[in-house]
Amino acid sequence: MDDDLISKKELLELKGISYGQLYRWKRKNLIPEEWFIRKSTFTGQETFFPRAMILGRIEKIMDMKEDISLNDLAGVFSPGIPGMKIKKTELVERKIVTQAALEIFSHSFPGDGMDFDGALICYMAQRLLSSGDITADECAAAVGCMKDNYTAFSGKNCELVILRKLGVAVCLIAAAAGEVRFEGGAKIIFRESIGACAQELKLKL
Amino acid sequence: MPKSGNDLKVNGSMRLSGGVYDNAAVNGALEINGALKCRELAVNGMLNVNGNLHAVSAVIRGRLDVEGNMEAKSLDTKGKTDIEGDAKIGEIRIEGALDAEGAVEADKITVRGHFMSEKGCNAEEFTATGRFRIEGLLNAENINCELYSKSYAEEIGGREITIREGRGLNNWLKNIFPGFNILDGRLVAGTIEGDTVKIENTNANIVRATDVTIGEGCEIMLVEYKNSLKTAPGSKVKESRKI
Repeated sequence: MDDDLISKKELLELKGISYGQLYRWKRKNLIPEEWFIRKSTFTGQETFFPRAMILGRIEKIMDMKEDISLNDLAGVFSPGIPGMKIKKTELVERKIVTQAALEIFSHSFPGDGMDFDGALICYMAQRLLSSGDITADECAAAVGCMKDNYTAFSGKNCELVILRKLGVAVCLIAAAAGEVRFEGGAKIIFRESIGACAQELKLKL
Repeated sequence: MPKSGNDLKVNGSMRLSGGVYDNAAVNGALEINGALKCRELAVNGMLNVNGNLHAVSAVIRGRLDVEGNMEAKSLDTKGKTDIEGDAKIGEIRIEGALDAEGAVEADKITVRGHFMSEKGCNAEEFTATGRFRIEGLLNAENINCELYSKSYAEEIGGREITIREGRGLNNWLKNIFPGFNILDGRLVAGTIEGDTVKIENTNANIVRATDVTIGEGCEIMLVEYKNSLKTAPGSKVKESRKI
């Protein structure tokens, strides 16, 4: 568990940034509130971050900082693009989903346009299918699950988890930063942060 | 906001459901059950908004109670303002009192009166000569406080943080009557983290910064600094580490 976390002090040292910069990024919402994990240690209260996520994010901020203002940068990291509309055919043209995949779940999205959340669900479904670990039926079930439940989590960081036990697959969405354990026979076949996928998708759109 | 040509003026006592107005002036008492949206809001009496409040500029000389969120370009409170939800305001000037139960986001906060924040606040500039009590994090690029009475912040983070003892009547009296300390201007904080931290009359558990200057009247449990540390002889620093 402790290997997954990095203390604030260590982070500043490692990346050569100052407290002022870190607080500024936090203020501009470049670093989400949930990543600040407070723990008491023998030197008093200390703040920790999920190691992989914060290191990745800080590298991105430092890479992009020169070209974009901080306020615009916040838009890149925030999940979702409000008011976005895209056509299904465009999703295929931009190679976000394949035509074959779209056919499996297109009945879940009537009409030919969809918003960012819809596009995100398609993108996730495409990843599910191309991972090769799940069947088309399971993928359709996952799409249904995301479609029904993602709005409740919209804007928040959450994970899509699919597990299988004795040949039966179950799909769930969990708020991030929580730890889940499963019984013995259950196997996690897919687990991915929806927030991270949203960012990837944004760069492709 | 476009001009709607629709002003609201209440001189007596009134209850309304929400609406969109150009200028809203409340000289008596007004209760709004819904959301209020207006350009200029002036409250000389009492305004109770049971919903969200959206204004370009708001000047409160009486009392304002907002049960929802508040959004404004500027808020000037010379009376008392209570916001139960989150506040997103360009410039906040507090000459009376502001009590914010939700998170506060502003470009500039100037406290001359009393500021209470129950979920922390974000600003580019935070200047205080008044009194503040912040639960959670005070996060600002520049923090400049002159203390005339007791203030508290659970956590303070920013680039440049300067806390000084108020140079007013109290100091003058102190010179004439040694030991006189009726206005004990003191800041109590959990942690203070920044690039440059200069503090006086402050009690804190931890101070972490690149350059630290601990002036008179401080009691600090732990100081961690990267570059330099200066400590005035009258201050107590239990432990200091260079990292």
